Amino acid sequence: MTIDWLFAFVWIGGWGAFLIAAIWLVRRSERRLSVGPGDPYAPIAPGLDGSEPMAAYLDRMTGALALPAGDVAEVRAELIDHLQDSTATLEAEGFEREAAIREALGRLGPPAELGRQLRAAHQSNRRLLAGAGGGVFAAGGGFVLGYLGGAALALLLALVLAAVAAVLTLVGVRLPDIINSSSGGYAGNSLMLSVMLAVAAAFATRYAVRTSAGLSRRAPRTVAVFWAAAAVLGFGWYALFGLRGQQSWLCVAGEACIPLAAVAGAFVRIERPMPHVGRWAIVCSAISVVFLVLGLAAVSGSSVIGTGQVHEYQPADLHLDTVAPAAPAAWLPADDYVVTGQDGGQASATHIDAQVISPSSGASASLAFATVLINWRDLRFEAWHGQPTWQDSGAIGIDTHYTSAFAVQPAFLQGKSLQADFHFERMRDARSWWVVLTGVGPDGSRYRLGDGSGNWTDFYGSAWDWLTAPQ
Amino acid sequence: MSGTDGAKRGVANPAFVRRQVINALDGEVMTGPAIFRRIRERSEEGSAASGDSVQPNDQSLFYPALHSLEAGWKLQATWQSDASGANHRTYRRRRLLPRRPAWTIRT
Repeated sequence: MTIDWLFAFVWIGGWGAFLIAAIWLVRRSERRLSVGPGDPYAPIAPGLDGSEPMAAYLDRMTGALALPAGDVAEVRAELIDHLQDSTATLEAEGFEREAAIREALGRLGPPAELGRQLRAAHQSNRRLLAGAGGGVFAAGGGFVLGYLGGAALALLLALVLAAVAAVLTLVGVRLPDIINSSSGGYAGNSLMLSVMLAVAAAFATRYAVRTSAGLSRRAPRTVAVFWAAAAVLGFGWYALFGLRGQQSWLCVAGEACIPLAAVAGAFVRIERPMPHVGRWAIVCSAISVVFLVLGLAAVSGSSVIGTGQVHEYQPADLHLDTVAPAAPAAWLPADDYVVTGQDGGQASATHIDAQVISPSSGASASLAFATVLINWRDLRFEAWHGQPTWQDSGAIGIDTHYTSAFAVQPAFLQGKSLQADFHFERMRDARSWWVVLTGVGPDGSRYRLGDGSGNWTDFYGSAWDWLTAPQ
Repeated sequence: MSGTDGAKRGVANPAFVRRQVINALDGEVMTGPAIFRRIRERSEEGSAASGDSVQPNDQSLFYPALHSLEAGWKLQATWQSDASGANHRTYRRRRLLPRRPAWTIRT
């Protein structure tokens, strides 16, 4: 394998620069949202005799200001500075102290009007555009960072769960297989992806809200409403229609958490600064992963999937007579038998074909079905629920819990074989299936032609496909 | 806040106040009260010359004008400490170039 170093350098460098720029933008923007101890205006207080009217004036002005905390502190500090200067000047002109304060406050005008005008001055259209653009940029960076963090979190969770399951199995506790079971469907990959995307969505909206609030000089909760609405639309659409893969109720529930996580990221403790991940947190996480892996290696002799015993099935175990009785040999080509085959991926239609195999030649007989069709009518493929094999990765025979086929397709003669397509990947409860070719014989009864074939197909599609799929 | 033009109209005009602030700064770094004093001095000089009545004590539009100019990238605001350690918010005109190029100056 050759590595295109230039491409790798540009790719990694580009993404790295993007992430660094996004983090820098968030850090710079969110400085406005709180008053830190290092801010130059933080320690300023009235500190004047008779400052109560000033404080009351500033409080009323602040009530109409509706700006981020850092801006409010700056405006208050600046006005205090101005009022101190004005009062001193008026006193020098001969005003009494209290009269000087009243006059200085009166010259600034009504406090609510001053606050409203200051807010309008700060919340300019230019800053609104900057906030929107910066928010989109920061959301992109937050999504990538959250995706990486979510991947680490999902892996950590998987390791912890696997370690706990291994230990419990060692001590003899029998655990239900919720990841890969006939009741829950395959959920492992989709669940991990949901965790990663939920964390990414939460980071994206949080980065966007704090950046756009800081840049547009608006209160975070005011901005959060718009970002939450955008996140519900964007991530909601993606979770419902865009995210395709193996589905189950557990997966759909996990995917529904993606827009919810985005909304939570926009509102929950949004006034607080972003959590700072220090070097000790990274070191501790790395050590935890190493210990978990070592622990897993120590208990790796046990299996949490099954007992490890291979079952051997007899023809009677297939319960094929549940479908229909076998066709009398007299009505079938002499010495030949019908073999049903299957083709298709987990994400597409399953193609079924039935051919007549001649044991003598070992090859399919091209004209055999034409002979069969003379005596038979209404040939069709019936899909029955199959018995899951011991490791849930296939099917063997008919599941006798069911008394009818869950899907039927007419068999069409194409070339040497009878064919039909089944969309098992779009059926919620298909999973383990067994397809048998049946037809109505000369006596008017339906018979089974051959033993059929089976497999395991998980539902594949979006959450919407799952919710609207036929049972 | 008022000046010659504003006083003639009898109403405080935000755009007029912003223009006064820009003119008052004139390349210097000043605090809000210092800018206001300079504007008042210039208004009084202007009104004395023209005989107009001025309203030098109306400050209701002064800080909105300052903050509006800062939001519009016309001014740059920073916090500076004086000799006593007190912090003051200072303003200066924001320019793309540190000094006006010589070829733009007409003599």
